[in-house]
Amino acid sequence: MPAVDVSIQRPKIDDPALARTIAQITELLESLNGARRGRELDRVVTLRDLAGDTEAASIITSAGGVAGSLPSTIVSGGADKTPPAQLSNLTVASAAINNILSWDGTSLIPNYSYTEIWRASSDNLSLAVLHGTTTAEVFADDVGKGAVTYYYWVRAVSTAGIPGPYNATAGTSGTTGQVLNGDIADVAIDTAKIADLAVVTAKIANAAITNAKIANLAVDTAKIADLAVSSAKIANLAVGSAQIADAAIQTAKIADLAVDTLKIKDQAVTVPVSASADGALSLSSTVDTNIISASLDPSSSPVNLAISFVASVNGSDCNADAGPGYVEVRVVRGSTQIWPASGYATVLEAVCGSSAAPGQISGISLNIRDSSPAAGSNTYYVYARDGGQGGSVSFRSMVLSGVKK
Amino acid sequence: MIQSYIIYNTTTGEIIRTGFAPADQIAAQAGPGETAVPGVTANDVSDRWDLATGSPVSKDPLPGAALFAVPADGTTTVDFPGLPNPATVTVTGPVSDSFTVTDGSLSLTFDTPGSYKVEINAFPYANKEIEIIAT
Repeated sequence: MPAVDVSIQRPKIDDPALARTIAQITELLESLNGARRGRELDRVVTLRDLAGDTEAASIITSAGGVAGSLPSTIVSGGADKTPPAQLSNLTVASAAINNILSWDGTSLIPNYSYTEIWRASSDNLSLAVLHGTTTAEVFADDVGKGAVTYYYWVRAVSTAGIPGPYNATAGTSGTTGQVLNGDIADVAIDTAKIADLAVVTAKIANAAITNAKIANLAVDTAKIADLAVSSAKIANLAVGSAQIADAAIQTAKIADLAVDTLKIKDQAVTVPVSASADGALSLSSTVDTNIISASLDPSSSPVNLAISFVASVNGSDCNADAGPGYVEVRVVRGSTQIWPASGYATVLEAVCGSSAAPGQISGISLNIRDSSPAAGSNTYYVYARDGGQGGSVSFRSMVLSGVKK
Repeated sequence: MIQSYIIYNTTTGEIIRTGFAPADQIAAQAGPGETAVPGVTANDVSDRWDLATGSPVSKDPLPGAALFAVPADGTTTVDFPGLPNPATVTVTGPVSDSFTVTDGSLSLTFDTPGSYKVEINAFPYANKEIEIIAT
């Protein structure tokens, strides 16, 4: 390699300091030139010097010729064995079934070739296995399912195949399927995203289900607790006859004076009227004596009359008088006789013997049915008379029974 | 609702009869000259209706003795003066009879020996039973 002839003419300088500085610069330049002072091995080599060397020229040519800049590292006789630098800033962003890894530093590695991604299911680098490679600074790990945690490490590999150090001793974890509440947009989950039978009771807030959320006819009996329906929940007029079990209404459930006549079936109730008088009444043979009376409004239904009294006749001389003493009666409704059909019915008659007949006394009981009472109130009278020998009645009683409402 | 009632003579207060009837039919139990009173119990023999107080009261006893002894000679009388009119008299015994006194005086004679019971019913007094021994 020829030396460059550097010859510096020294001007005359009056300033000693400046002259000394210039002398130092001259010495330095001559040493770098190697032609006039210093050792040959200390001289500088220019690109032009290298252009004449075949091996050097090859390097220069690969670097773009003398017009371009030379690579920072010029090797001769083999590849760059320098390990790549450590990658940095590894982060893992987890999605539903993927972990997205990203890191920095590949652009700063001159002999960078690619990046290795190592993965383990625990934070232990010794258990990690090579999971993939990439030349980018991002890697998508398709885990395939949610709720899976992996730990990751990355390292760069040089063009000579030499790996650099892992990004860190501790792994960087990522867990799939970790969708937090904040990751879900408001109103984002629609019905199709909820599996059938997936919503359990604990997921429903108290008092959250409103009436509009319950379909018509959706609530059946089994969904109502025993004794849960109070009277306030039953609308007025809501309970119909069909909702009341047979024989369910007891007496205590009917208010006093609550049942009026219209609620009673026709002919269902017997309305009784009674009248009685204990005192004795003397009878006459010429004038009817009203021995008992009572009134009833049976609403045109038949009336049963139960009449009883004690009748007595005096003793008589059958031979001397017209005949034995007797008591006879008739029953009248108003002015209409209902029993007997006409005249009187003898209910007691003394027994005549050969001489005077003793007095006779007898309890009389009559049961009569009036099939055609008049509308409204009907007054029934029991009239009695004797045969002229003297008679009386006492303990008179009449019970009228009208089959009414 | 079934109620008790009494029927009394509107003029005299004599209780004519008593009974039971539906409340709305009690008024109909009273005939001409009678008054019905619901919700009251009484007995026509022992009680009367006090027109002044409007309530049932016991009849006063009829004055006079309750036991007599007379000869059965057909002429000796047992007298009961001052009876109200009318008074119903019933005699039971060896010879029985009944009649109504309308002149306020009763005189009985007996010609058949025996024990007689005389019952006098004369309102406003209580019925009176008298025993007469005729010998």
